[in-house]
Amino acid sequence: MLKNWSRRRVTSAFHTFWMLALVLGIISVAAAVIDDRSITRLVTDFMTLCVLVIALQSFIGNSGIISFGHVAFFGIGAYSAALLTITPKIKAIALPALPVYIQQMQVSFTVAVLMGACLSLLVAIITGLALSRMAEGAMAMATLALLVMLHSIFANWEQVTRGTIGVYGIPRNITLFNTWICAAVVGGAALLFKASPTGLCLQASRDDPLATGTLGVSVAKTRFAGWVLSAILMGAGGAMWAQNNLAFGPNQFYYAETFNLLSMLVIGGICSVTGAIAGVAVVTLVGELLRGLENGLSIGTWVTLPELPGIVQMSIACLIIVVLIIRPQGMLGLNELSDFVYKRRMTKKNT
Amino acid sequence: MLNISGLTSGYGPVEVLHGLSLYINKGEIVAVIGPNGAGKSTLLKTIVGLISPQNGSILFQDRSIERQPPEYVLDRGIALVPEGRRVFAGLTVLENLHMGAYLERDSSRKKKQIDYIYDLFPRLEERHQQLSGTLSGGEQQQLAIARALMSRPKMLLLDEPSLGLAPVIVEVVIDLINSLRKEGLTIILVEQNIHQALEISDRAYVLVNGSIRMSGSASQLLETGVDMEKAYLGEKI
Amino acid sequence: MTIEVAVQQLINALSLGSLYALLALGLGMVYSVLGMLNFAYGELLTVCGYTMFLLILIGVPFPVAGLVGLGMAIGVSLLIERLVFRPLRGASFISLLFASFAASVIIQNLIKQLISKRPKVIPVPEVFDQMINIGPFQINVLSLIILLVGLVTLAGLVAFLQKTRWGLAIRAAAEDFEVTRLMGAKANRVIALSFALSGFVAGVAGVLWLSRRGAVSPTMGFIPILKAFIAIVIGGLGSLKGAVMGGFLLAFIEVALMVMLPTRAVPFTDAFALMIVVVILYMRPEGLISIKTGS
Ligand SMILES: Nc1ncnc2c1ncn2[C@@H]1O[C@H](COP(=O)(O)OP(=O)(O)O)[C@@H](O)[C@H]1O
Ligand SMILES: [Mg+2]
Repeated sequence: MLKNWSRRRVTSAFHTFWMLALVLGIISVAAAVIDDRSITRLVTDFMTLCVLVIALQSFIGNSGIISFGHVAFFGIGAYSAALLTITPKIKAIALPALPVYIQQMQVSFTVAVLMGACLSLLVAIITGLALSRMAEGAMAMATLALLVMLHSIFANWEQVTRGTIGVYGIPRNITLFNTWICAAVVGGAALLFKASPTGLCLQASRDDPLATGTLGVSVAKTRFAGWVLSAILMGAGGAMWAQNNLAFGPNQFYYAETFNLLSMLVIGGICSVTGAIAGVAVVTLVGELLRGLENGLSIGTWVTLPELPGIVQMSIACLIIVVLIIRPQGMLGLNELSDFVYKRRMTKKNT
Repeated sequence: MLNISGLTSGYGPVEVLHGLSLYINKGEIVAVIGPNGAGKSTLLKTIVGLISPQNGSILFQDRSIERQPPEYVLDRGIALVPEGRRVFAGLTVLENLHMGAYLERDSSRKKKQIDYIYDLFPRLEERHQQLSGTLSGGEQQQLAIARALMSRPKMLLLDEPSLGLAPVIVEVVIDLINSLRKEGLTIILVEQNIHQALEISDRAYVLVNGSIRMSGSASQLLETGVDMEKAYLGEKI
Repeated sequence: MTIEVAVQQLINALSLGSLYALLALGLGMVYSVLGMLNFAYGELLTVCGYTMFLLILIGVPFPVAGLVGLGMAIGVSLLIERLVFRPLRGASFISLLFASFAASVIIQNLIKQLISKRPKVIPVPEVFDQMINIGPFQINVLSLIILLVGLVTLAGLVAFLQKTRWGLAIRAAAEDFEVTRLMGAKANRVIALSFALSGFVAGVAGVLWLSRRGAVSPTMGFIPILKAFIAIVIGGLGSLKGAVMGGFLLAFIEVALMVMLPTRAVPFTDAFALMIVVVILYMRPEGLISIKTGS
């Protein structure tokens, strides 16, 4: 029943794909035209976050299982990109214990992203074999366990990660153009997966795991596929992120970042790739607006607002609760971009 | 005793019952029969207040009980034996009975009621310390009914009590229903099994796709059995 | 290993186990009644801790501060139920999980803003650090206190659940919430009760946790909820008995690893413990006690 590709779904995935790519492209071009450093930075941050949240969406959205562990893949991608792109000179000082061939190596942006994805894939295969067999609740816990396990590795494997001090000296290989390409490719992959027979089986298991089992579909296998795919995308996103952030430590891949990425996904709508991007946009916007408040603010000479640490995170948390109460499925619900365009066209035809 | 009119109900935006009306007199056994998915369980859940109706009224002893929570309806004297028995599997038989009398604060009255139940169901007394998940299907059905009776209801709603039971055990359940009627209990019996239900009931309603398709005395409906099966099948296709 | 060391480690494991069992029971209580994981559970310990910190700062004695902290944990637990979960009644598992996740972040940030971002030290009574001799064994006082308080609280909760009408309703609701309502139990009241109990347990565990740690920080709730989460999953989600068993099992695994691992591998204890847990779950995906079989 769910063995064949559905033409209609692939077509609408393709429509959403090019529209999203277009929108992201326009943003990139606009940033290139403005050519302001902080704007460029904002846009590359935005695209990187889009990649990460879309990667998260491709597992959580299709399987309906919450994963706290994806930030671990993000970390794997970031560390592998760091090890592969930092100049041999810095590596010799900062990471003298690395094997010589890694010390000598320095690769380009694309290779680093691909390697990040591959390493992440490797870890995803090993963990996925165990995880995908578990019941939903247990699997959610196991993903949290994965997060803690990898964090303790990042924080303690000093020869490779420099422990809690963190790595530095990553060259800034990111450009508006290559982030745009990455975001579009990852978005396309997520959309294609969502429309694929495997993706559909995974969504069926989300809606009714028992019934899906009786259809002769192996829930474990489809979950495994979703897990591995999203880990690949996450690893790629992590590698991009490293080349945008240049220095980082293990605590960047923990609880706070997990909350950050999950909140964007929930606000946008976990079932929708468009929603993932919309969520990133909303949270980025709220963040930019409130960032001023966080560091304290002077209005005129007399009124000085006190510093409010954490006001951004807190507002986003409140936003999540409000969104969940008003629109439990997130802003976009089950819709993708093409659904809006098509619906309008359909109603036009009918009238 | 119970008067339902224009009842519309369902789950969220989904409407399952489309404006149905029915009544039950004191001391009657009324059967509600219909195919799977007709909305029989939804009807019972709406009566006891697990689901709040979208429209219509439910009068019990001339008081309106629609949109009241289950504890209120139970306190007025309507108890439901849910479909599939649903005994508390990890609780002992006695604890299940205590849950049935949750609203009863007076422990001596509770004790009396338990003795009465043990008279009615000697099996349950023998097994009162056993976890109810380990009882047989028939025993679980007895426990489910006993639990509902613990609240001393005036009206008992039975949702497919014969579901999944061996024919011999079904006989036991039917005998039980008959003896409950003799004690003056008013009963709504929901069944898919037409003939069994009609044999012990006074009147019956045929519920198909959320509306009442036929109604009348049980003997009448038994005679027109062929038509009734048409009503069943006509909608199924 | 000498017999003395073995006995000391055994007491350590039991003491840690009773703490984990408490934590797990509190989280499992709400899970079994509502079918949801309350991610803000760890913050109840944080709230308890900061209440104690503030009171001790103004000179209130430790035990009194502990009691007030306990009360605050119950209060905040009920408040979260009222403000976050009640408006979301009937929402999906994932929505509730996210909402509780958000609630936890809000509490953390409130503490950061109102009190401090940095960890603060709580002076614990000196007797906690002393050793007492029982026969040939030297045992840490705090371990004994934790073990005792933990076991007494567990016993009290079990008695409450087994002997009282409300306890019965909670256990029934853990099995089948809808039928429990049919029996005349008010839904909101049963849920509020489970949150109150959960807050109570978190409060007791919080006092014990602080006595071990001697410090509070805004994110201190993460480790306890992680342990509780792991314990209830090992035990079989939704089973109260399983939660307690899971807590003890997790503690035994951790203590055993700490004793057996070579010094170089000690920083990775948590990673190894989690690996073992994942292996257990791989072999028994439903946990030790499966609800479906009821065994
Ligand atoms: N909890 C529920 N949520 C949504 N729809 C439901 C639910 N329970 C039943 N339904 C739907 O309501 C209709 C009637 O169901 P039900 O009352 O159980 O029928 P019956 O008891 O006659 O077999 C069915 O179409 C079923 O799919
Ligand atoms: Mg039914």
